[in-house]
Amino acid sequence: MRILFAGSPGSAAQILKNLATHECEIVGVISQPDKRSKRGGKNEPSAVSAEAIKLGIPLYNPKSIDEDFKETILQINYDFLVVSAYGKILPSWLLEHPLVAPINIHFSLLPKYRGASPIQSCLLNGDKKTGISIMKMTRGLDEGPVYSLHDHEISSLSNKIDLENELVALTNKILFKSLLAIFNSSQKPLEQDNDSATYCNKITKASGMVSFLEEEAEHIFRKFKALNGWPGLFFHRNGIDIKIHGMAVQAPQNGINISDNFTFSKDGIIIKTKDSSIVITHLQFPGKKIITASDAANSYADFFAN
Amino acid sequence: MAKLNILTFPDPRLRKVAARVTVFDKSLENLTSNMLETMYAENGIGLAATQVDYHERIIVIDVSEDRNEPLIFINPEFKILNDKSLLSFSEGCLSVPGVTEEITRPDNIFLTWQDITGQRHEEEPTGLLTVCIQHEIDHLEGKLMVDYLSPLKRDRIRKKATK
Repeated sequence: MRILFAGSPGSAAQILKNLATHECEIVGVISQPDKRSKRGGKNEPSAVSAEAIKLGIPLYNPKSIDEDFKETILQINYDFLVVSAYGKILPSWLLEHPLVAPINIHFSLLPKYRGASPIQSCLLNGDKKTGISIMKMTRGLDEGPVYSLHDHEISSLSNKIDLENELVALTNKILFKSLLAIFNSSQKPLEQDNDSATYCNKITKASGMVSFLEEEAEHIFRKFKALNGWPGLFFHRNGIDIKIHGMAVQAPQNGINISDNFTFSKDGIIIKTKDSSIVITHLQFPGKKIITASDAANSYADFFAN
Repeated sequence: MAKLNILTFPDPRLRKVAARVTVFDKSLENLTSNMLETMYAENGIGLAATQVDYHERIIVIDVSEDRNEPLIFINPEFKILNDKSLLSFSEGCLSVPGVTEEITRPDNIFLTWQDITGQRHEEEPTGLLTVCIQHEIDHLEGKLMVDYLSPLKRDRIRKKATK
């Protein structure tokens, strides 16, 4: 079984690394060109490029998928193209070249969460279950027919990074077996039910902004878990974006008047939401250290006064 | 008193699971005071026995501003009381030098432990202390902060460390 692999980030590198331990030949790896690193002038290869170099596999980093690249790739024969978060749109000739099929690993149970942020989206929606789809790639956005779906339960404490690690581990458990089944039995994939498809957008800095009075407490809490690491969760007040580092969902309490926006209590800053309230226990002003809510009550009383 | 040598990632000894402490004697007292000395010398806020290659369930902590409130927890264990209360702090680790990363942990836990004489205690810590305790208990389980990071970041740290 011969495989051409395409991918870029760390999760894809883990999948490549695992695939290389099985009985198959990885004939080449396609990945995004090296990024100029933020500090210092040295260019930084993508995680997948670095793994390919370590494994001694021929590496292609085309800036654009042009005629030259096409000529090079069409000279190679392989059974599968396996794609995991490559980050460029693939032309028809590349999808048609594998002898068996072009395969994509998508981190959701398709047709749910087609698009760029399936992991964050299932956390934002408070789903109890997600999984991975082994799909035959087509030109459309995650619209290809599906060979197999693999369920994964989401624990109530899981955040984005936990879930990504778990889904990579699940992929490594099933991918080679799935490829083998497709290879040996010429298994036919099933078309997705396009009517029940949902889509998710790329996460941006703005995704982390909270508008307390327009969002439900539970939703704000889910955002905290889904966006941890990057971009994190922020709220805007007096022209400043303040980052939230600790929060809890709180049932409405008797005796505390939360008709105002910000109320300081022994548990933290109680903030009214669309449906009830949340408590912020730790926060951070731009360029400052993380502080507790009681520090904020002392140092920033005027800032929070209505 | 003596300063102890701290193991650094990816040393496989950091992956050992620590055993319960059953004997509360002079040597336990010596070990904890050496651990505290090591932690203060390295400007850490917590240290687990695993990090100094003793594989017993012992952690020392000081999260005070003035670094004069040493805490010792023997056989610490915790339960999560509320999974709707979270903290996301930038954590560092003496065994993963030069790296700080934001990690999300539950804020509301019920902690039980024994002191240096074997006496049992319980408490509900919050804030920085609860983060630090969970970080150190992870060490006793052979778990490191890098395990919470995305595969990309973990690989980068490993590469830097083994250079």
